[in-house]
Amino acid sequence: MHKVIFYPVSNGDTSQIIVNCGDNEKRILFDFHHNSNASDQNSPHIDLAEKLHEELKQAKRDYFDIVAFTHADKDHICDCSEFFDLDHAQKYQGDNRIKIKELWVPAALILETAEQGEHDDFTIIRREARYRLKKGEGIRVFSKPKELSAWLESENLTLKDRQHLITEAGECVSTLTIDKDNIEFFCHSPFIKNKEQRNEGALIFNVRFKVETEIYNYLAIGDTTHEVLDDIIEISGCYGNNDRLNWDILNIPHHCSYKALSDEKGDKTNGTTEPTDPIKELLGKASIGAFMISSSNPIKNEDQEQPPHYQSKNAYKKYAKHARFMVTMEFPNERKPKPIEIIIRKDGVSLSSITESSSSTIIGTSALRAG
Amino acid sequence: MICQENCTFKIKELAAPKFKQTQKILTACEDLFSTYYTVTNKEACYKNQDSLCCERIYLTCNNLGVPHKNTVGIHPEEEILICCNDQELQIYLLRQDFPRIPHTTFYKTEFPLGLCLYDTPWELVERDWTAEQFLKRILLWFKNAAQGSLHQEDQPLEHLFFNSYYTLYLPQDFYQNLERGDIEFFIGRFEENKHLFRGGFIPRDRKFAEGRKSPVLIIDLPTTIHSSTATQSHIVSLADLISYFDKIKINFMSLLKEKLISIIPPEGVQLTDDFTFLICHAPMQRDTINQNAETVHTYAYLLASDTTKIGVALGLFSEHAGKFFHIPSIGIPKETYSSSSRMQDIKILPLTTKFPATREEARQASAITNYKDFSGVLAGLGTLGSALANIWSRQGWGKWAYIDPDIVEPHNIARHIATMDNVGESKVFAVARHTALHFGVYPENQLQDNVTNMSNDEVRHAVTSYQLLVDATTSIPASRDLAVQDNVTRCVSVFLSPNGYDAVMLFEDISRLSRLDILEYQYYQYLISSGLGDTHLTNQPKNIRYGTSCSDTSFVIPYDIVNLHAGNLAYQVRRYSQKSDAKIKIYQYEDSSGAIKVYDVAVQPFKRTKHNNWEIIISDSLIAKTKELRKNNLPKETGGVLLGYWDFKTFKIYIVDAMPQPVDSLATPQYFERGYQDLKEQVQAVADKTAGMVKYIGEWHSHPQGCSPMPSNLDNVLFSNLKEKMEEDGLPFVMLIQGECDYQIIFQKIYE
Repeated sequence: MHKVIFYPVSNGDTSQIIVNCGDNEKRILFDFHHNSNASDQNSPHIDLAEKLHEELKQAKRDYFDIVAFTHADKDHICDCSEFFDLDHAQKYQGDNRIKIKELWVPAALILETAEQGEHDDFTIIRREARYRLKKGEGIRVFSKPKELSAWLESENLTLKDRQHLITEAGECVSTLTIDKDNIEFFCHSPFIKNKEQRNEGALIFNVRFKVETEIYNYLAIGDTTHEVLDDIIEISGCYGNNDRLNWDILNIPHHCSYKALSDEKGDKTNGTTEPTDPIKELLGKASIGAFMISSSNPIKNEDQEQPPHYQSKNAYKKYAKHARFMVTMEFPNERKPKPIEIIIRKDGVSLSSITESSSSTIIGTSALRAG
Repeated sequence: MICQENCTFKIKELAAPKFKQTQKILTACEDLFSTYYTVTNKEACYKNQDSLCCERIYLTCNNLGVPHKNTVGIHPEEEILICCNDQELQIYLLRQDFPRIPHTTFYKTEFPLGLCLYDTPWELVERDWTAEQFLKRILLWFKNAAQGSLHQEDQPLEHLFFNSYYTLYLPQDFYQNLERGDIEFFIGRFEENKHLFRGGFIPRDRKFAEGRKSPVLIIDLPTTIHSSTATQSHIVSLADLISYFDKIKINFMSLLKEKLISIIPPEGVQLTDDFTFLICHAPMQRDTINQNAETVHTYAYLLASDTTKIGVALGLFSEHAGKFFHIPSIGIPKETYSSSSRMQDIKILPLTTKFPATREEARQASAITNYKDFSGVLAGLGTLGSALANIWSRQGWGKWAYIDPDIVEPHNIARHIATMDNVGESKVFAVARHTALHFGVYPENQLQDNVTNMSNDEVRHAVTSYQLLVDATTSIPASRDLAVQDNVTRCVSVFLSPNGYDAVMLFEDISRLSRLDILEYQYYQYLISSGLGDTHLTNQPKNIRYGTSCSDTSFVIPYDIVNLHAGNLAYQVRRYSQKSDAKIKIYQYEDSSGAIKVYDVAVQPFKRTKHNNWEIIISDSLIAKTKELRKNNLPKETGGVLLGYWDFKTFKIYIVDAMPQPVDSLATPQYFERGYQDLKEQVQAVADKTAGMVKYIGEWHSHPQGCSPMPSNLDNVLFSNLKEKMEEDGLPFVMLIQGECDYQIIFQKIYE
């Protein structure tokens, strides 16, 4: 059995893949968005750092096998410099920090220059990525723009020296194989064309799971735009990789923003975004009963500028009508959302622990202090 | 559906729910459970213009916990209907092709299927019902159904067919009686409950007053596998039945044909208006891994047609000169439209059959697993004995011989399981008739006699060959007589105190070293030495311990208290029959609190001394007592009276107690003169505590330091003097001398 867990981190992303649960398992974290007010009991946000600590403690480990930062936007890396144990500087080590065996980043994250006012987490994680790449271990970089070889040369290294740590679009990560590890990461993005903008250069994977004889697909899309997705769909078609577009689980891109579907949001009232044709095709590739998860704030039936957009939600429900739509900050309710834990078994994908009783929840945690 | 039969009058849109469950479900669906449920419609259903029948909530259930590729066929989204009123709550699955899986049910119609959510009745469920837990439970149901885990591993296998609304109660020995030529099976219907039928056997030549003759066809089906079957409902014709079995790959048609051919005689049969009773035995295995059939279900159908007509419908029989014969077919018989339509015409009533309970089931219900082969004699079937017989029979415990000389008298009815019908019958027969009604099994022996009558071969055989003799005679003679019989089996005596508030169990050890008489003796010792004796036997007619039989109406013993003790004793006897040591137990009912206090009396070692034909019994503890009294009074002698009782039939004397010296006694190192101050009162007090059983039987005294218990001249004079006095009443006299190391009993027999 495998799991994909989506944490309620408002309009941000954090998800975890646990492959081969309990038995030689591997844990892969995608992005890290800790809300500063999460420890406030009245806040709906999960205290992500505490939650992950708790989970790892239960699993008797102090590390993730892989931590992937899909891109360097704040809502994907927030507070990571406080949480992770980083190799490049002692000040980020110890103190109950969580180790990263292998760090995955898009090449853009290494190459980007910090702009004025850019948050510290970005520069720190970029330093860590650069440190690991120079050292030649504990890292995987996605895409191989020519700027990368220039940067390597500036560090007295060559592309060839680091080739084994680089995966390009259209390739699978070579260190994990479906037959041996029951999981496979096929890289859809970034590709050379879209390194310019951060969201365009974000990581997008087809994650393929094997359970005995069955194969299930998770389309892990971070923040992206419909143009990138259109390209991916087109390129996949050209290279005979259409099967890499099938999905049983979809991480809805960019917190259910209409921009990942189309240029037009749709009507302000009762509207539905009209996705581009390739994206309609992509949504149609959902299996019946697949899950699509919007990692976002609750979606109200009212027009708003920032995501999530209800018009997009309508589009997802319309064009992937047999899939099950969920919102991280709505599950199981908006007052105190909990992680959405999808389990992958031989007979398909389903939500785990839907029916724990309240009392069993209460006695499973410490109570608040009584006055 | 709740309202299916009664109210098709009017369905309106539901604006404001009247039933609280409806309101709570709607609120929960719109609030906390909005992720899982979407309300698609709401209706109120009326029986008539003013009377609301139920409220209906149509929901789309978003089954997030259901694996999307599950092989059971549960969809990620299912439409359900919840039907509420203030008396029940039902859930329906609205998908026409929802899989027939265990824990779906149907309410009289095949569609929509019901969802079986609780295994307790609604009356109990509603006590702690909340909409939130209810909605969670539905989600869990779908999740477990999809994962094939609705049916627990330790749960019995589900049936191929749903239980029918109609029930047939089958008689005892149904299958054995079917083999008999002189009787035949018939089915009658209960007048007051028309869905209930009862089967029975009557002689073939007897006319039927009521009911219908029903030839029985028994068909043994091949083994099916639980997981590959689905519970089926809605069998209304023979065609339906055949078609269902076809679906689960059982060629029922051919089995039925075979059976019909086997029963038609070569000389043919005439058409009758009989019904046919069809019984199918269906073995079932849990899964493909375990190849053995785990259970055999029995399904029964009443066919409104005689066997001949069925044969005709199946194309097996044809008519010639008013009679029907089997016509062997040549080649492969062809299914014709007409035979299929004739099978449609043969209407079937599925029946839930209920066989009489068995003793094995009764034992299971009482958790009696280890000693089903136990055999016992129950002597005395009065108030207590009949209550014990009733309990043990209902539990299916043991093979029994009942022994009692009495008959049922009208006054017995107040405290006996017998009824007025039994008056004049022997108690053994009356009780046997009563207990045989439980499982159709009579006790192995019913002997109207005394349990001690060894001249009766049957009695002797029973009391010497069964594993335990339960003496509920409440008779001292019986228990003492049994005690002297060496070849009698292990005995336990049970009785109630005269007022009924205490119960006593005297259980011999398995080697019979401490027999009933010894246990009785020690029971008295305990009554004298403990506070219990102040109340235990005090409601007793003088001179009899617990006396005459409990059926004596001069005693007042409430029957509820009798049953309270009977229940306890029944269990204790059953329990200690598995242990080997001797037991003396007294159970005292505390009227004010309702508690039962237990006195567990330690069984003491004892000594027997022979004096010609007589045997004198004294316990080690009593010898220790005289030793202690002697030691405490040294260098002077001491003494007092001996209390006990005789049994002139068994030639035994039981020394129960040695009293300390009365205060006015004259004690010196050379001699002892017993005084008598307060002595009478003290002896009477002991007699009272033991219902007059324990009384003065002699004297005891000690010898000074360094002296043996050999009687002195003075002792011999004393002995003769007192012996003569006792002889005036024809009673023996006992003297005990406690010396330095030893004691001696001097006894003069006067009666042998």
